Amino acid sequence: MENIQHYVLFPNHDNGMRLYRELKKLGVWAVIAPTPRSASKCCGISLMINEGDIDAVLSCVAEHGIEILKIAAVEKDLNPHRDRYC
Amino acid sequence: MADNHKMWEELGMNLELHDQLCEVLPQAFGDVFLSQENRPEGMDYYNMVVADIHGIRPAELIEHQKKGGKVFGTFCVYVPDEVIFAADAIATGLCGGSQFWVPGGEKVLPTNTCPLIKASVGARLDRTCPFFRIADMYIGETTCDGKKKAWEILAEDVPVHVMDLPQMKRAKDVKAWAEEIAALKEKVEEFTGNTVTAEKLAESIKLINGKRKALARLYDCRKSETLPISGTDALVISQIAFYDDPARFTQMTNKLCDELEQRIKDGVSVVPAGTKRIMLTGTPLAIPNWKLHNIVETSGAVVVCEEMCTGTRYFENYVDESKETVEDQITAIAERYMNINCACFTPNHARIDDILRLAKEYKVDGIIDVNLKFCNLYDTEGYFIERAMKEANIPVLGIETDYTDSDAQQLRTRVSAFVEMLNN
Amino acid sequence: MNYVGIDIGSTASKVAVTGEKELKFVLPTGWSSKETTMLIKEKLLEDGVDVGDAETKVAATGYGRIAVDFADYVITEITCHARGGREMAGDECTIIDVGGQDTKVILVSEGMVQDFLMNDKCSAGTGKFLEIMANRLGVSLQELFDMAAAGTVLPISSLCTVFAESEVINYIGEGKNREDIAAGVVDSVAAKVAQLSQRKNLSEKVILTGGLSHSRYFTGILSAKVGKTVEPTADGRYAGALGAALLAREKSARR
Repeated sequence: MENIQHYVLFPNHDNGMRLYRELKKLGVWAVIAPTPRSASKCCGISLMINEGDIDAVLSCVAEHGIEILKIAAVEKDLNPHRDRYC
Repeated sequence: MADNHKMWEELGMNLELHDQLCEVLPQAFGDVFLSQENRPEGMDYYNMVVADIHGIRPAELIEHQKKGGKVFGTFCVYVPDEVIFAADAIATGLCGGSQFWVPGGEKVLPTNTCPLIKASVGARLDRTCPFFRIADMYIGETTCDGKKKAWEILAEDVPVHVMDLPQMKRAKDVKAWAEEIAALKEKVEEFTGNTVTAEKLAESIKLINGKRKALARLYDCRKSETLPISGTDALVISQIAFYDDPARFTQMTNKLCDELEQRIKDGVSVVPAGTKRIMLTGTPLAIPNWKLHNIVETSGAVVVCEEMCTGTRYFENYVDESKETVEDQITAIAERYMNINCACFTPNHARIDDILRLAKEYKVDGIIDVNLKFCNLYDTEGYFIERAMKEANIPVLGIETDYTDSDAQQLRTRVSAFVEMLNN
Repeated sequence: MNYVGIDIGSTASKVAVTGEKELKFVLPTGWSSKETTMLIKEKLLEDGVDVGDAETKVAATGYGRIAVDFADYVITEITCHARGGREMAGDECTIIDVGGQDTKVILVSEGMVQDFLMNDKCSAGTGKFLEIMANRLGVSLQELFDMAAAGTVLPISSLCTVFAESEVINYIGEGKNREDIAAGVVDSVAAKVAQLSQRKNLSEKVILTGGLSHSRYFTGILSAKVGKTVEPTADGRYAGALGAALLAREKSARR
């Protein structure tokens, strides 16, 4: 599963930021990122998390009543030499 | 996010066309930013801002309008935000940095207009940017011929107030600029129905100086041999500074600087020791123009400073906070802004002095002088820059580019060759 | 040991080998740099150079350099041309390279690149321009030069290849001499190359590399326009490949 990246998707950014702050308190790795297009057509923020932390993330979501849409597994595709800018 | 679509619809945006922009942003952001190793944790704030760039901040601006507040769109570092915020209005930068908006601009502008102007006009006329929809009034300025005429075209679609920026720096020009700022104050007062008092202006001068100080602190960190942040990350912070809430931006940037200063103490650098340090000079890099930084930083060098509007020209020098009357405050504002050295001034020797000073301060190994295609002013001034750098024994590479991806390979060759030259 | 330099240009791919074997050859690049790279690999093997063995070091350069997946070093054409040109002209020289896609001016001092300049996103003043015009006149590149030598220059004033082509079409329509049009075409390329070169202070020694480098006719026109003697080079088209091979040797020795 080397090439898979997990993203938590949210209905709005408030929930995303709440989860981000709670995860940081717990010391769980999370990076705020734009929602990958392959995971959803809804733009906005998502959280990149490690596969091994999924259970911890889900229990944090439950404990704090944070709304999420889903956790999506997306092929890792970061290429700084692609030269496709926007 | 569902809320965003509703908001964009209410703003009268072209959703279908806008979706094409939404489609490319996540990949480009991932490639340029998230592929970097060892990023400061504080970058998460800016990730958030860009990830929902057309959602979070536009919603805040609309909220402000619902309470009766006004939003002013600006395009230049000479336009004083202080005056706008003092009237309880919000100023937001509107410069377009994406090729996505260029064809829209080319419908009405000559092809040989700089991409920044074309993108800015296209974003408005094609209805593909919420910021361009939200702004109640645009504040233009006379920094180049292309812009002067573009305001006339935009003014047919949205209220525009143009500030007449002098093109020389004699005492009478500073005075003339103070008069233009006073005229802006009147315009803003009339448009908002709020009076700009000395108290209000003092407050907003502090607010905007605070933002400048935070950016100066960020740039100070980049002077360190132990480089705690990439140029790419610093660039996006500079870009966000133009339209984020100033108080929050200042707070988040200072928080990031706490982390960066700690990194310097701990010897944490984002590049190996000996990586060549590059300063970019020239025309602005409006969001989301990240091409050059990405190319430089994936070609074995690192960007440590931008002598650009999206860089030192934006934050260097402060407005004197000690003045007590509106008139004196406006003079102080005029003096601060007339210290910015843009190529639209003649002569403009002070800009060369700035570049030489910055090269020393940031321990620069080489300079890349960047010109946005069809910007005659910066292109011509490049002649003096190249000569002055030669005399100072600082290697310099001149580059002309636009917002398209099509010259990326050619740019990579030039930049790599420059880095190979510096490494020899 | 063998050191291989591979220069994948937009029109032609040049290969130079130095070490136990000394050889060079050129292939058309075709539509795929990857495919050309495979052909080069096979051709080298026929000549007894196996790019896969540990005794062979490869440096790739040119616009298709990334396609050379077996390269030990990837180096830009500026650095390689400078190294190759230095071998041909010494430690203090200026190299003017007219390539298929771009034109470069490289200043070498004390054997190092001191400064360089490339034409911008535009094919005027490059081999591409000549190719397009030769096509328009229905002749080969060599024939274009032969015709030009016999003609009198018809001015082509446009800075842009597309517009310049229209000028040529107009001349054809007006029934002008093909020789005179050809002379105008070559002269216009030389003028643009000279214009680029004059942005820098050229050294006393100036050489021409790239596909036109052997043409005394072209260097003659160029010399007159830059006001300095631009020397033709017999193997100038291999400057990048040779430079790459030499850099492969130097870099592997450093390790």
